[in-house]
Amino acid sequence: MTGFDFSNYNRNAALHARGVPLPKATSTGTTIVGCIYDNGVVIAADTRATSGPIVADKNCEKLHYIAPKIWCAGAGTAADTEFTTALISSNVELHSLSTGRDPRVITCMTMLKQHLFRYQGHIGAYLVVAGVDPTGVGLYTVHAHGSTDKLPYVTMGSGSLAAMSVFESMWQPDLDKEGAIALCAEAIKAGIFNDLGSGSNVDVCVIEKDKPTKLLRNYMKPNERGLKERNYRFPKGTTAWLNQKVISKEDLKKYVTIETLSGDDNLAAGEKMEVDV
Amino acid sequence: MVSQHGVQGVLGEGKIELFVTPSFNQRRKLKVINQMGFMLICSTSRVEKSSMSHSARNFMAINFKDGVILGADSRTTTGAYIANRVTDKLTQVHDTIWCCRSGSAADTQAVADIVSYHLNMYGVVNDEAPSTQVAASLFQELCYENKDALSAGIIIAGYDPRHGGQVYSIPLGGSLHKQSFAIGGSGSTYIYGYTDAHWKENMTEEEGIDFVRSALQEAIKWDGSSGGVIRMVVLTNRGAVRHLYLPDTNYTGPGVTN
Repeated sequence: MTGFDFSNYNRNAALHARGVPLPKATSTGTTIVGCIYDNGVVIAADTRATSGPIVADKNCEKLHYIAPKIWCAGAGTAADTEFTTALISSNVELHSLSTGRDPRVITCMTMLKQHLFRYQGHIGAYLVVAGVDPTGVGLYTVHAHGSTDKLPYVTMGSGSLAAMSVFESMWQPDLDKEGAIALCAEAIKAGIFNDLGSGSNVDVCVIEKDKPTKLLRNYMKPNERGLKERNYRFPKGTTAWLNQKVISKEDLKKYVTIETLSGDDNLAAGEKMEVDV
Repeated sequence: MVSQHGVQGVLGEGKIELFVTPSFNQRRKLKVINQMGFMLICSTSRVEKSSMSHSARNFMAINFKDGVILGADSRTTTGAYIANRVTDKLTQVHDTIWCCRSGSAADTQAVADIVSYHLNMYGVVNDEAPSTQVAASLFQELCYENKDALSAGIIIAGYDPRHGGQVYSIPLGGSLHKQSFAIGGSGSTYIYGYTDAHWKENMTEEEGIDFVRSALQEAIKWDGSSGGVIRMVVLTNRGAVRHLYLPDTNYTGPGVTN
């Protein structure tokens, strides 16, 4: 049987009752939005991940791949949005292979809501599902308890109120692609600047009919770190000294044993390790 | 049957299942989106026999039921925040069987999805549309057997040529009541008096629409959890016809307005 193991539930409840605090999950105090336009749909997200009051990641990715033309923006518990979207992405691909058809947004939304409903809100994934399929453009929100909504423009996460205020004052029914991108970015910026749980950059994903999907990573960087005009480094020679004594390698052998390792300089490879970008 | 997803219906075992992971049998502390809003009003609307009516050929009854009307506001809330101001709480579960959902949005959507699946199967297997009573029994089964896990207040209304328009109400405990009209949701408390005073048997369609709209208007006026637009659906032998009333026009105007 796959799925979660809840055998520790009663133990944890008892511990909690005796005052043991629950461990903190990395949660994305987040702003995510979505907006449809004449020929497609745009979703956008901020890039701040928080763990309590700590900013855990200043440039994380909240736009998740489901299928080439179906993407998800995730708020809530970071791990849950990550794994839920990955699971549904996998099932959607298998479904598409088995039916020989392009996957539909509503299929994906239904799979997500049934998965989340089964776990009664314990999987803390709040998602904006968007995409284009043979039936047209789709944009939905899915809440952690399994309820869904279908709307022309949507916001979620702690910054949803700030973002919705932008949509409610600037949205119009006849948006084109550029207008929709600009509006979504503006809504995310409202979250970044007015919501403590959101911050850093704007990620955008544009899904259009008959065109490849475009993921615009860091579409906007309104919080770039400026160059410091001064620093606290002291120039060499700042500290005065009374005398100096130079100990040569030969002198040093009187106090310790010195062994020189032969061979490749690259052996000390600590600093040359590859870093994923 | 292998369960792929959380909500599942099982056919053929004489049993319907709503799959909830066992260790969650404790009552949930938190229910995210509550469609607390007022929800709905259903009324059977009847008219005197008219010559043009389609179902007249089937029955010789003196009075036959022309159909049934469902209505609801469109507000969905998460705490104090309006998560959706244009929600459609009137949900189709078969051609002319619809329901009004109140309580937890997640719970009622899941239940309606399962019932919808079973009614569609019923229609295919029996080559005949299910009656409203069958739909109501399906809802009751789910709501009663899972009463500890659900907060769902559902009103089912449907038209079938045999029984005409019918209204069933399933409140929180999972009991089933056949009524001539039913109200439910948080806003309904404000209009028990109003609906009781204004309800008439054998209303025309126009009178019925007026009754439902005025009652919803009143509920929206007094109940903070209700609001937005008024949605309605009229179920007759002509099928399902949808209506929309906007607050900007003071909820007045002909059947379909903008």
